[in-house]
Amino acid sequence: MQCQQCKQREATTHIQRVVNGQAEEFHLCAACARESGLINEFAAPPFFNLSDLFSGFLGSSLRQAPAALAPAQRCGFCGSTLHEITQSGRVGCAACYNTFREVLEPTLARIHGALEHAGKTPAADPAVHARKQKEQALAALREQIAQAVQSEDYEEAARLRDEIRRLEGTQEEGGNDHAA
Amino acid sequence: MPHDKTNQPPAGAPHEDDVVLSTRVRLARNLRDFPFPARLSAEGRQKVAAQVRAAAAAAEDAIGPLQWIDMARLPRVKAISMAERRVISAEFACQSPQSALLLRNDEALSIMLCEEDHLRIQALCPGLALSAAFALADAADTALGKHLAYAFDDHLGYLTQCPTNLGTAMRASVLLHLPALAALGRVARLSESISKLGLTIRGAFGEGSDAEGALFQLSNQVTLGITESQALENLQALTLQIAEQERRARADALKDPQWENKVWRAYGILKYARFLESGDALKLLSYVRMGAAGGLLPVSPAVVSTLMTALQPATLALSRAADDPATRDLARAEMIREALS
Repeated sequence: MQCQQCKQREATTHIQRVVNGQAEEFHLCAACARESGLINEFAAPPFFNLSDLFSGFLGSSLRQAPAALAPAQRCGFCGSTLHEITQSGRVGCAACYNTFREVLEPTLARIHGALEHAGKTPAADPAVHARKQKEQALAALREQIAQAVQSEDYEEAARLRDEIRRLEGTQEEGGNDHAA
Repeated sequence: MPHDKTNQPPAGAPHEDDVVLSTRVRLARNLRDFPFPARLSAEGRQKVAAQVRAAAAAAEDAIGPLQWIDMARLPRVKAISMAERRVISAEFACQSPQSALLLRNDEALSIMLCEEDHLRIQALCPGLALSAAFALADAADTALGKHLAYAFDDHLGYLTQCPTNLGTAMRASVLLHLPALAALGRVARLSESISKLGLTIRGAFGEGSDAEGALFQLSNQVTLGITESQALENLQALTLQIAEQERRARADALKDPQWENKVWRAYGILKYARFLESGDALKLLSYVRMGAAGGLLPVSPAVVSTLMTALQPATLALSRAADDPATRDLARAEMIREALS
């Protein structure tokens, strides 16, 4: 099979990717694969040229982004702007993922097809454990609120809503502490 | 056919090594309190290095003693040879500004500092050994994680500089020798079942007209929303399936006098040649390896696998004190003649 990029050499790198239900196939020779950054196995595959990917994906997310997240807004920790992240395809620091979460998440969902980590968690991080518990509590409260509304128990629903607001407030503080 | 499923390799021998040369598992980790490497100052790099070095010392009981290698002081040819032996990435070997490497004596465990992420923890094992390689990398990660504040998000998992790696931030890969499937043009057709499992396959060496030496790398692509063990199971299942297909294709091929001729011809050239260029040698060794694994040639596949790495330019330059390409071609031919005689 011929390399679809240079149309000369034999394709030795074969990748098929499904994004939003649309399958795409890529057959590249080693030279074209290397040129496009595939040689670093951790890097994005060539067709996911990250700056293109991010410009494309982030571009559409940006149009729907809240005004507070202008492309010039800087991460409070490392100083990266959304524009820089889009251009380089590299995120500046861990805090960037929080700062630009609203804009990054739709893009991440498109890359990975999922937005919920399922693997290992750091062994010795009590903060993570506390956050996980909080999250589970919030999920339970949201379920209760839906039930209360359904049974027209608005008093209970209001109480639960205040409870959720209180919990969410503490989460916000916890989530930003290393960006400060 | 000599490879019998019921005939398990002796304890300690690599599994499936007629087809699988080696297994590698890499975990990317970053420190929460520092910008990722691309935005990290020289001072920041030193601080990251100091923290990781201290953590490795504190974790020595769990992960064993690791050698600290300042990459700026390591001769370039040694660094490139490490990349040829798959101990570090090619990018890391050529990286500027240079960084540091933590390395276990047997080279099975290595930790690259400030490559694309603050830490790249790597385990490398011969043959098919996904569980063993993961266990090694995972244990090192857990031990270091007790002394380091990792960048981690409940939803996004381990945070990485490149968003395509976050989640488990694990890349597991196997190096496959697929001469028969490649000759039949069937590697491309495998890609469909490969992608369904969130995996990818590519030629491991060479920029020429084909995957040099018929060596391919199969690795997991998806890292978010999947557990490490699911990703490893998918990779294991597909590796076994591909290995079985390759074995069947080899058995058919070796019944064909033309194939048999290719194998013996390659063996003859390698046994007597006086000059061998690396790409050429790799191509011929691929045939010899196939003949060796098929019991056709009086050579062990393991010897051929060793030669496939030893013939690489920097590794050869070190072992045979051969600095320029012409001397290397001479030394390469000599080394292969010695190994095959």
